[in-house]
Amino acid sequence: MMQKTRAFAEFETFYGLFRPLTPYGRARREKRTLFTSAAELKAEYDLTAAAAAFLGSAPHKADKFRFHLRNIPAPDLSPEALAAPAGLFLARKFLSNVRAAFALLPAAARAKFGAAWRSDGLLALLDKGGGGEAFHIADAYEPELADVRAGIAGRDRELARLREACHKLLRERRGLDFSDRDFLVIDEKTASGFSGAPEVFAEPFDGSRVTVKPVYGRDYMEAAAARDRLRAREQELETAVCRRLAAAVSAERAAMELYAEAVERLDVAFEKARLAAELKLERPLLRREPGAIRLTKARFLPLENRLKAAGLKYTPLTAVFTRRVNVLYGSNMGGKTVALKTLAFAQLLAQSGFFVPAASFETCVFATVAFIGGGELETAGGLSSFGLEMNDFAEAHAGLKSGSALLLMDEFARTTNSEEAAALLNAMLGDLAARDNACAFLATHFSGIDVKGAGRFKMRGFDTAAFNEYFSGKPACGLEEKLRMINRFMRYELAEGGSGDEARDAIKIAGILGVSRAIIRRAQELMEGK
Amino acid sequence: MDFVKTLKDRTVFIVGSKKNAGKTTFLNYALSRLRGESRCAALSVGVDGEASDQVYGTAKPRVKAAPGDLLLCAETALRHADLHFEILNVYPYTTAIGRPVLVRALRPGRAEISGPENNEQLPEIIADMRRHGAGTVFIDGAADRITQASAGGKAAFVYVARIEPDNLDSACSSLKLIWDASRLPAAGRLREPVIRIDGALTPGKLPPRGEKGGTLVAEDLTKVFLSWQQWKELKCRFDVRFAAGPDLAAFIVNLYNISRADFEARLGDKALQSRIVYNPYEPAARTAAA
Repeated sequence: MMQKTRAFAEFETFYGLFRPLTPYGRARREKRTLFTSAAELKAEYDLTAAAAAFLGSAPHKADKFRFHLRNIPAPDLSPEALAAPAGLFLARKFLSNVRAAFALLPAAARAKFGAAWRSDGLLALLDKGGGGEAFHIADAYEPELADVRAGIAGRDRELARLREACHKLLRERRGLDFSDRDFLVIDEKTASGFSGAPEVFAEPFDGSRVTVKPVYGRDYMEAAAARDRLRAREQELETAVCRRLAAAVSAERAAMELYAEAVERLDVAFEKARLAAELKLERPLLRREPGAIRLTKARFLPLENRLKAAGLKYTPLTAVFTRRVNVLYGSNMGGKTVALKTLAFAQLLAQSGFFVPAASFETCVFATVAFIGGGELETAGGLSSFGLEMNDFAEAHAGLKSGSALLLMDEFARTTNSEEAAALLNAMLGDLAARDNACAFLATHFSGIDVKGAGRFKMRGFDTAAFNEYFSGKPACGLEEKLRMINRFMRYELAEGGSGDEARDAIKIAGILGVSRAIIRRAQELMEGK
Repeated sequence: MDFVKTLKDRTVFIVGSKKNAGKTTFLNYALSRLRGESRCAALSVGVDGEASDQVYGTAKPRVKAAPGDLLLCAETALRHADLHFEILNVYPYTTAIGRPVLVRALRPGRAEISGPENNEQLPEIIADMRRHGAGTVFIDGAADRITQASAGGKAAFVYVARIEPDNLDSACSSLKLIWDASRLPAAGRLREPVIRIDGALTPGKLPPRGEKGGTLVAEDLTKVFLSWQQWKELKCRFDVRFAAGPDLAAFIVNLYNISRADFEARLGDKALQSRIVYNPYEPAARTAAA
């Protein structure tokens, strides 16, 4: 149900812009939470407002803050993961970026987001393992490590000296140059000259050549064996250090989990604040109890962007719905579906914890927001579009037993005959009007809907006078220009009052779109005769 | 000009004609030649890289690291590496052998290099290596990743071929095809109609036989999986161009049980022969390699 409502509201076009920077924020994003508690939403809005205040007052610090957020990983805090240098690296990276991000926040914001830092000791311990971004099991963790590593370095120097001496000997005595190479491939005939030479090891390469490698001798083997022993001791010491550091990190696991929660709150709030600033979004006003829904200059962003790209005018929606059941009438292409989408869009944003694209948006919190319609696009389970709509309605209606619902119905029941459709709609809306926890909006063509207590609205529709004045004497034009003209002369404004009978611009629109004048004239005669 | 020196500060793909062609052996050679002149980094990806070795269980040659080298290794491989290192990054990608870890060697040692799990992650890792000071980045394997990683420019590739009597004809055809494809003009103004082929250019994706004229654009020359004959026929029908054009740095040819004279006689094409570097571990071939 929610998926369908989101699709109707084109919610994903907005949600795609919501890009948290941390793994915690991204995990929260994937949940697509629809808040149904006004208190929780107020808390969300308060955090977004606090983030917006910081972004607005300290843009330079905000850039640094984002940098640190972007660098926060999600370390695995299990003992197994922390027992390896990679796990410790991530723990340190997490802590150092969390500390830096928290430090950039004003004290009031830290308190609001629960961003309380108290892991200086642990971070100082991990910082012994490196400067900047790098981390390693440093000598500072274990005095014996320094000795062992010095021993390995000494053996490496000795091995290099012995290797070089051997290479020099082979170069001078055998003409074999092993510079930059561990082995050489030479022909068998040349190799036969080295037969029995103790300083060269040979094995077949192919049918006529052999691979030769230097034999570095007993001193080299002993130095290498000594190095191997030191390396084994180094690994033991490194493992012990990893265990100690892992224990230190584990001891602070609770604090780190609190940091992760704070990071999630910060990341989500700052991303919401960024969107609010970039898209000019305002904080919604929520009512605890069902009441009026007020939209002032509300913008349906997906359409606004499309029209902007096409160079067409966009009219924001201003409306006050004081009743719980409302019927929206309007002509074809008159914008009643867009009005419904605008409301759905604003409501979904508000209940998802976002500010909304409107000068103001006053609404209530619903347990369910359900779109019913659009069945012609689906063929699920072999049901007709009518069947799907009825099924969706029944599901939403049943939901009213457990909580409030906002039902958005677009051209509901339009695929059945008008008489039965009107009867059904009257009965359904009448039922909804009688329930305190239901709020319903129906966009329809049908006349004959008369529900006691329902609000009636009409899209202002086509401005015939302005169109005639502009169009007189102008030549015929292409589809793009026709659409441009409809957009120019259609008044996408919602006025209170009206009925289906008054919302009839279909014949005018058909005329603009190129249906022949004779047909248009005959249609008008038939309407007048009726 | 010593061709290894021309690789300095570039992103270099080492691709091979087949498994065990000698790619990692060449990588070790190139690393030893460039150190001191350029900070080197290495990773290994692709269908002929780590996954195959995991499947077939063959020992994968380890990379010889010197202090300062940057290597991308799998978490599990680091446990067994003879390497003292510092960690520069741990990437949040999962592979069969653990997360990729970017390390800087702190003393000489050896390690098995690894890579990301998909193409999208490769440019990010290369960029991260450069951010940490890498000049020359070697990518062992990865014939199917060139397009993604060469988008930023400066990419080159070295084609390593293992040639034996059994594969002489097919190997010569492959070399000729890659050489011919590498000399095509850049995709500038294209003759209409333009046919674009995404992914591998295989016989099944070729336009129907009767169709000809216009331009056929493939992703890059390593995506061509045609025989020499099919390639020649294709060029007769269309202008063929590549969307991405990593430079061919050299062919490294490792001959097994076949003489250089016999190989060159079968190969023909003197210009192509001039771009071949024979086994750099073979002293007789040093004039060309060093």
